[in-house]
Amino acid sequence: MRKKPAVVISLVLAVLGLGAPATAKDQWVIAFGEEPFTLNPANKGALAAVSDYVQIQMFDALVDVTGTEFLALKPMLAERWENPNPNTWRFYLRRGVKFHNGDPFTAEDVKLTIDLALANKGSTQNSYLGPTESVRVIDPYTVELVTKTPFPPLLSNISRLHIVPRAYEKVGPDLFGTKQPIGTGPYRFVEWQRGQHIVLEANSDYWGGAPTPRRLMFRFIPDSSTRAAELKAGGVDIITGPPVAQLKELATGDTTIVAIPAVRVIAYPINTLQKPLGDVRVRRALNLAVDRETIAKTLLQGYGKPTGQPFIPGWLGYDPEIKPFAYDPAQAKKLLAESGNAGGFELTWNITTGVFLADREIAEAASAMLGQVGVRIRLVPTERAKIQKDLQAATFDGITSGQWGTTAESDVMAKWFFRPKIFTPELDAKLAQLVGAGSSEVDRTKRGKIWSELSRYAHDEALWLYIHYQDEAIAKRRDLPWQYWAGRGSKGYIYYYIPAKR
Amino acid sequence: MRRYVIGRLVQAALALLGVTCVAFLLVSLSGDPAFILLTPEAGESQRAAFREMYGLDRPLAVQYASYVGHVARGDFGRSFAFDRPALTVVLERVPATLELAVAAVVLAIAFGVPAGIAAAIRPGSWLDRAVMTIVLLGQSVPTFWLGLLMIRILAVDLRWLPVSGRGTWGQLVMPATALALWLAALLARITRSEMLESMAQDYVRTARAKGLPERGVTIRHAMANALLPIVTLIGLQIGTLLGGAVITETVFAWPGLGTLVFDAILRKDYPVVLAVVELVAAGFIVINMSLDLLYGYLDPRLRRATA
Amino acid sequence: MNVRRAVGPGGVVLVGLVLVAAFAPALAPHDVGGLDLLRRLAPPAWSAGGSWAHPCGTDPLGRDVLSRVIYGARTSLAIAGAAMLVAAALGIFLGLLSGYAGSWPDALIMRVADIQLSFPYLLLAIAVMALLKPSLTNLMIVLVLRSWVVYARLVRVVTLSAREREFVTAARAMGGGAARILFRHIAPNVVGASIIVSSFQLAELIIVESSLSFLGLGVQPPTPSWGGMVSEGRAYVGSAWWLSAFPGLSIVLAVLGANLTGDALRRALDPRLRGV
Repeated sequence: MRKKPAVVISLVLAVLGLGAPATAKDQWVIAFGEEPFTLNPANKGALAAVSDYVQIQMFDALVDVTGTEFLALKPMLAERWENPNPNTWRFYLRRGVKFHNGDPFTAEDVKLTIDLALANKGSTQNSYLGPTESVRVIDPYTVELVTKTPFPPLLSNISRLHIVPRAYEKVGPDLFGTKQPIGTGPYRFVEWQRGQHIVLEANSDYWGGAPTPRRLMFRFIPDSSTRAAELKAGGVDIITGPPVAQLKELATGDTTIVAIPAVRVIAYPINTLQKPLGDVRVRRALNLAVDRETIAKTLLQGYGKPTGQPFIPGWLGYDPEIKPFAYDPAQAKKLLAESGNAGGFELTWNITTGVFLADREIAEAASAMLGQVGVRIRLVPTERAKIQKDLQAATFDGITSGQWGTTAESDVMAKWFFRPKIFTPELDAKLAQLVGAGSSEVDRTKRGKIWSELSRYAHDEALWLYIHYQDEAIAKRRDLPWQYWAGRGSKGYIYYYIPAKR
Repeated sequence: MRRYVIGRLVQAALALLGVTCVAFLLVSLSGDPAFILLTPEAGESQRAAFREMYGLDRPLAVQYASYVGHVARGDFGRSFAFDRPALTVVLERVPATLELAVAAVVLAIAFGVPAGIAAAIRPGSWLDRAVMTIVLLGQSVPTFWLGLLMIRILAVDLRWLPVSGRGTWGQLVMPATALALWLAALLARITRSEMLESMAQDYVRTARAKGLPERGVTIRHAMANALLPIVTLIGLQIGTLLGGAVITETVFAWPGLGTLVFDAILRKDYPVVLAVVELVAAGFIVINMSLDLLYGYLDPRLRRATA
Repeated sequence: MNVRRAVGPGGVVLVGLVLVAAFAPALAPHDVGGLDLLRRLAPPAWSAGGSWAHPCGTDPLGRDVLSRVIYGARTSLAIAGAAMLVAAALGIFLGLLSGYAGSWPDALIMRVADIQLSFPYLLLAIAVMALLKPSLTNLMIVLVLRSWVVYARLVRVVTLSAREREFVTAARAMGGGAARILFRHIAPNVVGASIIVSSFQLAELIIVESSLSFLGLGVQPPTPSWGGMVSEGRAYVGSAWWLSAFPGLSIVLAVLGANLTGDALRRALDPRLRGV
């Protein structure tokens, strides 16, 4: 009886056109927190992760990094490849592939794409190619890249380079990025309403078979609570970045949470050049004082796992033998006393807010725990760009924060975290040697061993405050037939949000 | 009169220049865009090339002079993030912002002014107290909280309205209401106090003494007087409405200037930030200058006061 | 002036809140930072699962909500109050200068005010917070920038009209210096209006701080502030309503108190003064 007025009002509103817009069954609506910068994979400069998530539906690369088996490389637009010598890469291309505008895919398109990336010196795509010097068309379905020095990560990097057609030059970068993104991918572009949504529809001529669903709509909703509300109200089908506060609620009823495991590591690098952090006992004490199990269970609600090393499961270099530090405040106090810090000390911790799951809460909780062994933490919320810059320039005090998405190759991450000048001479020398060796080792197995050694060294020397690595939670309508699967992505994330049937 | 107008125009131009200067200083001192716009994998050489591409490695004074020169010709540069003309990026969002602002103003006037009148007719009555309490409550609730509460109750639990976005009338209701609330409360208070003021004036009492019906007296004479301050107030709030609706836009995913400039500031996309600031500032200055000129025309005494 | 009528119920509320803020350590049942992850998100005492150890429940980190609200009074009132005082000082000074001196100082100050008003304050706040560290000092700067114009404009108008009055002309004729005239003759007229404006500004600044917290730019964790707590609790609207409700209620109380005091003051000091 009490429901009746509500129902009547709903009907009235629907008739007046004021109700919520209905989602068609063959269209999936995905809500992101940001809007892509551009749909042009060869754009001159800025690159955003979310731009890539949308571009990925419309473009293919030569190689796919995919993951029924984590980080394995699969053929995509290239059927096979070989290294005639360490500086040369030869790709044999798939035949019979067509771009969305009907043009056939040939080696010329690959050459154009690579030439563009080489020319756009201020772009991330340029960094993917590393020391690549030139690209050469051998025949319409064979293309060759030449690098100045051997560059093992090239293969997995090239999985992030979307191939654009020769028609790119006629269309021009502006139009290509806004209205006419022409690729070979499973979806083609329909429309882009700035600030609101992008609509794609299935490419029925896709070489890997027409995908389902027939249409994709990406909506941009900045506030996480609003995104969750949209999912609950039926306005969207999938949301990324659900609010931590509502994870439990979203896992019940007609919505559910899909957890993608081991998506990123959360780093809390320590500036060892600062007293008393140069003493490994102090650093170990910091690690022993934090109850990471409870944090993972309560603040992350199980969507994160305690860790004791910089590499996480699935990464080249992860060592399952390395266990997280125990929670032992008594031992921590003892170590502090041993190192001459029985009275505790003050420590700055630069943190981000809202950049990764529960970042602020975890920092607050850990600070309180550290306070209990005498380490008085001063939390300094810092915005993302500055925190990244301060790490690279080694201009931060105490501890800082960072994160890195799971990636096929660990060299960039290793350089990012272990080459800034925050290490004592002894630590720095060893790190330089390890990182250098890992970056130039061509053999994958040997490379993995070197990274494992780095991981163990970083653990033993307690170079970070180790707390956790993170799963990614994606909330969706319970009856939506979507499973995540690992595939190409920007920033080394190895998963799609939306898989096409391939 | 002509000298007055020219004087105001010159001042307006100087004001605009001042805004540009401050905005430019703030954004350029606030940090390096390369770090945030290129993913961490991009190496230092890519970042250096990025900076060079956009002329960020030049001295500040040179950048400023170059910027002003370009703006004078209508060129606001290219957005760092989108690699499109900054002006285009900004203008695309204007219709959404205007739609929300106009809807909010309309709602605020429609609810605030009658509430103020109702309260003023019988000061001290229960109606007066009730209205003013609601008004005070309206000014005490943070917009974002109200917005999220509305979403939960009206959209998720009751499903009467869509949650967010723009396109249908339904999607306009909640954001416009959330944005209108504080303005409506303000208008109610101003209307009430202006009305009370007017009603105590001699000429109103005279009209009443002449036997004109109370309601006619109230509405016509008193409102005419209240009009000017009300319009002034709305003019002053334009800046807040246009740019400061960030919160409403964020909560309701409304694609307006507020979120655009907020994101641009965090991303250090200076051309977009500067373009929005110019646009909003120019709009504000133009509107208020017009209002000032209008007063000056209507009441010569004010010319000296506001010059 | 009837003091009791001037202060009224609004004043009582305000004074009460100030007292709570002042005696926070004595009143708060728990330490502000006392974390207890295992007792997180406990509901208030009268609900199922609650206990009187935490009368208003606990937050996502297990901290006592009531204690944080009490300490939050300190933060929110102190910041809003201090900002208001500084803004008042700045605004009154500039308003007096502007109204009395006229010609170019007046034009300059008013145009600076225009420039500032045409900057949506949130953008200014974001820019300042992004440029400098998000600290309490910078937050104060942002809030002061928000407020001084209101004082300046009002004081300017009052000064302008007072300037033309006879006693000022007479004083000038007798050779009084400008500063003397300002302080002895004009300033008293300004005080009443300024006090009224202050109460309304206090209310507004409390709200502004809360909005800035929503955007992540207000008082930074772990210092409790009402606005920050409402913002943190916003995602829990459906599940842990007490997180936003109690600090939100405090904000409403404070704003109500400030506004009622302003109204009462206005009636008591000068019934003809316009409301702002």
